[in-house]
Amino acid sequence: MKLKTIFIFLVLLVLISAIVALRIGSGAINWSSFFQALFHPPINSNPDMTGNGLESNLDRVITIIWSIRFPRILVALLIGAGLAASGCVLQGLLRNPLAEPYTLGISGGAALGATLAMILIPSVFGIWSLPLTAFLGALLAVGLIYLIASRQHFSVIGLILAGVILSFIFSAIVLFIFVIASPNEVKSTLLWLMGNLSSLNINLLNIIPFFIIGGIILLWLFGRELDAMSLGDEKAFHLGVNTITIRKWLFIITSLVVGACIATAGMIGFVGLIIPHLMRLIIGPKHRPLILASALAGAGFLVVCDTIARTLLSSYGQELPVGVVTGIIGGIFFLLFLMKRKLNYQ
Amino acid sequence: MAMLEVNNLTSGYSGATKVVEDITFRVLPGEIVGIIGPNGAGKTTLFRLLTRLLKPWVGEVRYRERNIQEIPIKELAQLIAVLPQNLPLAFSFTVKDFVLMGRLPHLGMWQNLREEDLAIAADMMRLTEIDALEGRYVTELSGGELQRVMLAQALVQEPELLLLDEPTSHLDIGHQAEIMDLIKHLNKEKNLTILMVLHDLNLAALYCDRLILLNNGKIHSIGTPSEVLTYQNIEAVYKTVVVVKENPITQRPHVLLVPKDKWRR
Repeated sequence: MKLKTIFIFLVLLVLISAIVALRIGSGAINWSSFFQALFHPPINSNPDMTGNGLESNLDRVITIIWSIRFPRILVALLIGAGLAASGCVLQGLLRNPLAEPYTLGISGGAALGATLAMILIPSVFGIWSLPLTAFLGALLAVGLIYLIASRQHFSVIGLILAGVILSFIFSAIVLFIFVIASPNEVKSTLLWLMGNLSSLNINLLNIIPFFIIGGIILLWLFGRELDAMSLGDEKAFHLGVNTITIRKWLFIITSLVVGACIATAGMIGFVGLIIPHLMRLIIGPKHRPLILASALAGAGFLVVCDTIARTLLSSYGQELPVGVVTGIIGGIFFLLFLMKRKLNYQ
Repeated sequence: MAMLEVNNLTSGYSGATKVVEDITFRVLPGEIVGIIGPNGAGKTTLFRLLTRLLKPWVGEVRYRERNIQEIPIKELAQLIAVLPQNLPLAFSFTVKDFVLMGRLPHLGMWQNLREEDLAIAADMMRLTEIDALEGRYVTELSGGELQRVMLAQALVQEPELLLLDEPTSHLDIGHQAEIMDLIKHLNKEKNLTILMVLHDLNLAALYCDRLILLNNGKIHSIGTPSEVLTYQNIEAVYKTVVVVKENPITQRPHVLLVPKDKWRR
C-alpha cells in the first residue's frame, strides 16, 4: 500500500540521517574505521585497557561515535519526534495549522521557568534546576491556558488567544529579567533559549525517553478521537467521544512531551509547525498515521539540523544553537511553501 | 414498548427563558416520526435535548426505559446515531475513511479496524449508493452526495434509532426525494426507527408515519399526517392561509400556500 511505502521511506530516512550524523563532525574518521566502530558498540569494552596503536585508534573512533555523538543524536531524534508529534496533535486539536508549542505559550512558559533558574535562583536543585523549572514553567503555561480556555468552553479561538497573550506576558517577564541581570548570565541563557543540544545533561537522558516515547504512544492512541473531533465537538460527541475529557488529556500529554523537550534542549522552533504540516499533505488527515509519520520526519529533520549546527562553524571552533538552524531552514522552507500555496487545510 | 419516551420535557438556554415546555411523546420501534413547526418553535432545542447536547430542566428523555443522561456516551453512540444539519469539514478525509469513523463507538482504544468493520462500511456504502465515491475527498462532494456519505457514516454505527436534523435542507427537489426515499428504505430494510426535524410540511406528510407539530415551545398537535396537517392547525401555528388537499397518489395531505392577495375567507 501507499502508506506502507511512505513509512518505509521515512524509517530509512531517519536511519540514514542518523548514520551520516554519526560519521560527520570534528575529528577525522575514515570510512573503514567508521564502519568497524559502528558495529562495535562499546558494550563491555574498556578503552583504557588497549595495547597497540591500531586498536587505540579504533577505540578513539568508538569513543567519538558511541560516547559523544550517539547520545546527542539519540536526543535529537527524540526531541524532533516529540516536538513534531505534539505539534501535529495541537494542530488537529485546535483545527488550526499555526498551532504549535510556541503559539500556545507552552514554550514561553518553559523559557520563563528556565530563565528564572539560570539568573535569579541558581542551582537550588543542582543540575536539576534548569530542567525542573523549564518543566514547571511549561506546566504553569498549560495550567493557565487550560483555566482561561475552560471558561470559554475550550473554543478554538479561546485557546489560541489565551496562548498568544500568555506568550507575550512570558516573554515580557523574560526581557525584564534580562534587563536586571548581568550580561554574562544573559548570554548563556540566550544561547539556551535559542535551542541547544551541545551541553546535554546526561542525567536527563534517563527520564526524557520515557516522557517522549510514552507521550507519543499515548497521543497515537487518541488519533481516532482526534479524527472525530475534526468534525466538530457535537458530531464527535454523537460518535461517542467525550470531547472535554479527551481534549484535557491530550493537552496534558502534549505539554508533558513539550516540557521534556524544552527542558533538555531549550526552545527549538518550527519542528512542531512545519513537519506535521508537510506530513498532512503527504499522509492525509487521519491522525494515527499522521502522528507516527510526523514523529519520524521530525526525528530525521532535527538530526540533520543538529548536524549542520555542530559542523557549520566547527573550523572556527564554534557551534550554532540548533534552534537557529531549524529557525532558518524551517522558516525559509515555510515561506516558500506559503508563497506556492494557500495555507489552508484542504 | 416505546423506543424513545419523552416525559414532561422543559428546557432552554442560559438564563430563565424556557424554549421548550412540557413536551411529552413516544416513539415506537420501526416508526418514522417527524417534528415540524415554524421557526423559533423549539424544534432545534428539542433536537438538542433528544441528542443529549442539552440537559433538561424538568423531565427526561428515556431510551428503552433508560434515561439517556445516564447512558455512557460511547454506548449511546452504538444505539442512537445523529445526523446534524451542517458539519465543519476542516480536513479532507476520503469518503471511505469518513464513513469508517462511524465504527468509533465499537472500537476499543488498542483495537484496530477489523474485517467486520470494513465489511459493515462496504455494506452501508452500497446501501447508500456511494461505493463509487470511496476514494473521493469529502470536501469535494456535492450536497446530495455529502448527505448520503453522512448517512452512511451514521448507519455504520449500527444504531437502532436515527435522529436527523433537516436532512434535506440544502437540496433540490430531486435530491430531497432521493434522500427521503433512502431514509424510508432504511426504515424498512434495516428496521431503523427514525425521528427527524423537517421544515417542509409536504415532505413530512409524504414520508412520516406520525408528526409532532410544535408551536411556541409546546406540542400543538400530534398524530398521523392527516390528523396534524389540517388547515386549522397550520393557519393557527404558521399564521398564514393554506389549502390542504389530498395527494391523489399517496392519499396523504398536501399543503398549498395561498398568497395574501388571494385570501378570501
